Amino acid sequence: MDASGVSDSTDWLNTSLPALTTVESALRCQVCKDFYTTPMITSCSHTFCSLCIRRCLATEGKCPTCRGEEQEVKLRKNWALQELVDAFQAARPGVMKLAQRCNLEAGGRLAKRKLDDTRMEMEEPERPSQARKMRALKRIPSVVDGDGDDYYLSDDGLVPCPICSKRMKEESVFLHLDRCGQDQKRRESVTPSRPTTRSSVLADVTPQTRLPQHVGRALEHLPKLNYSILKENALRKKLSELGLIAGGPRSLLEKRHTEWVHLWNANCDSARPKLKKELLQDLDAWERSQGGSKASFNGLSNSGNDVMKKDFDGAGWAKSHDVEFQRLIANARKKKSSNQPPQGSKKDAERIGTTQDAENGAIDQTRAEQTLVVDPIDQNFNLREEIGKQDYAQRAAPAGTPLTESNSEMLYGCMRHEDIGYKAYPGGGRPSEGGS
Amino acid sequence: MASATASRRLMHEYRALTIDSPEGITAGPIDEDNVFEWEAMIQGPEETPFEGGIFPATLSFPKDYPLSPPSMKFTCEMFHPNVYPSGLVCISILHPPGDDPNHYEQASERWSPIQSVEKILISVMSMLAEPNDESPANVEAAKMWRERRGEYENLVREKVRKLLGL
Repeated sequence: MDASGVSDSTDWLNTSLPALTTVESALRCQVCKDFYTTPMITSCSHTFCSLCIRRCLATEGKCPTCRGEEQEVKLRKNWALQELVDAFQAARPGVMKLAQRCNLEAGGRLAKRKLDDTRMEMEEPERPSQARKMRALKRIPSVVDGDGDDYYLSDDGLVPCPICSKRMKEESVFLHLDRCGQDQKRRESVTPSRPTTRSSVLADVTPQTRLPQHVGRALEHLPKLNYSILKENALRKKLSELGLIAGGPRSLLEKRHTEWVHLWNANCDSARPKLKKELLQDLDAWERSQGGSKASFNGLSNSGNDVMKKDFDGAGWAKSHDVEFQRLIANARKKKSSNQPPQGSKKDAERIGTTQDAENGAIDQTRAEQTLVVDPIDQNFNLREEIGKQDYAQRAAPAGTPLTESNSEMLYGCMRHEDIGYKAYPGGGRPSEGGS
Repeated sequence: MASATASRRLMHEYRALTIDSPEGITAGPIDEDNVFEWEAMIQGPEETPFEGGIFPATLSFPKDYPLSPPSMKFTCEMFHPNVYPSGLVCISILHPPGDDPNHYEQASERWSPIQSVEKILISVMSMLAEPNDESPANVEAAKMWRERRGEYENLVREKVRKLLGL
């Protein structure tokens, strides 16, 4: 994943509109740091994405901001905020472009923040960026004054109609207003395309609207289950009734069901609910991202699993991943030929350490004491593992199936999983996140 | 993209920290392909024995971040009451609110999903300046800090000099 692909409120800092940093940060969820998706307000008046707050409440039962007790049933939708977020997101690229262009003469903000600016009080119910926000707020009155002046100080002695802005004598405004208001109504009924009503605004901003929010609720919230009173078989049955995968150890079943309830209920709140198929994909992706290593062995439709199928297109795979295979082969040769480990860079040392951490706590300690020195035993073990991975993958893969980092990891993972019941994918490298 | 919550959130934090990080702190993924392992550098706070030092540390994030806190470990030698001899940092912001093994922390001081890497690093900086000896991770350091402050400060200064290669 690339950092530049993620937009952030700090993007405004180096533009001519740094004050928009606080505006945008107010439109972002403090848990996921993304723009609010289906914002929900708690009974303590804090707002989060529906999915974020549901996940938080499931872990702790408290509001993440003020730590007040909270329950999912007390959450209420915050439509106004949703509309604001939609509108802001639609306007953002244009404004950003303009603000960046206008910033050419200013050198941009390079100075680091002073530590004093950052408030650390955790009890503080406000956002962490409050100090910055207050500074921005102070500037606002002058802008408002400016607007006011425009409105009142005109030397022609006339005043504008508040509806059509036509200038006229003060005494004729009231007479005009009656007529103007009617005209305005007529005009609107003739041209309903003007996005003045809520639903049409939403439709304008988001053409992918699938279910307008005023349509009756077709989606019912799912109830939570009390897992402790549920037998494993009953839980499996429940999962298959919901159309979910019912395989895996008990703890995974519970986690999967919980996540599904979160995804489903957050989707029920949404103004633009997803299809069940998309939710299932989200669940699948979640399962893989949580290190649910067993996921790929349970017939989830993920790409790594395809390698194991009989009709796997080996030649096609080889073609599309040729570059990576070449690199892997070159790497393995290089490692094999140089018996003496090279002076490992710090990065390597760290990475080796990470893989080993999971398996050997003792080495951990060694590492803490001599971070920069690569332990030769470590290195050799890692080397053997690397070669082993590739050998095994070459044998196990269908003829003509070359290696990628992801499928060799996967195959190796399978082997270890079957042979010694070892958790697959130690230290990452899952097909979903791999470089392939 | 419900699934990639953790990595997306980490990318947000990384981005925000590169554009607008507080003084004396830098942090980012060690390897751009794995956003769950970060390296951080913390400057020793002024007017403390740690002044002048730059202390490297690693941050490991769980897959369900930000629901659970990351763990932080100094990769240099640290003699401090709240740092284990292994380098592991022990402060309340890194502890989930659910369990309180030491029974001294306020729930409000502990981890919450709205906390961030920036807040952690700032907390660690102030921890360097003001150790908490109620529940020491390094008993020897805590004892020395409490009873022989001068000796503690000299030892820390010496270690900082060694770290800088002086």
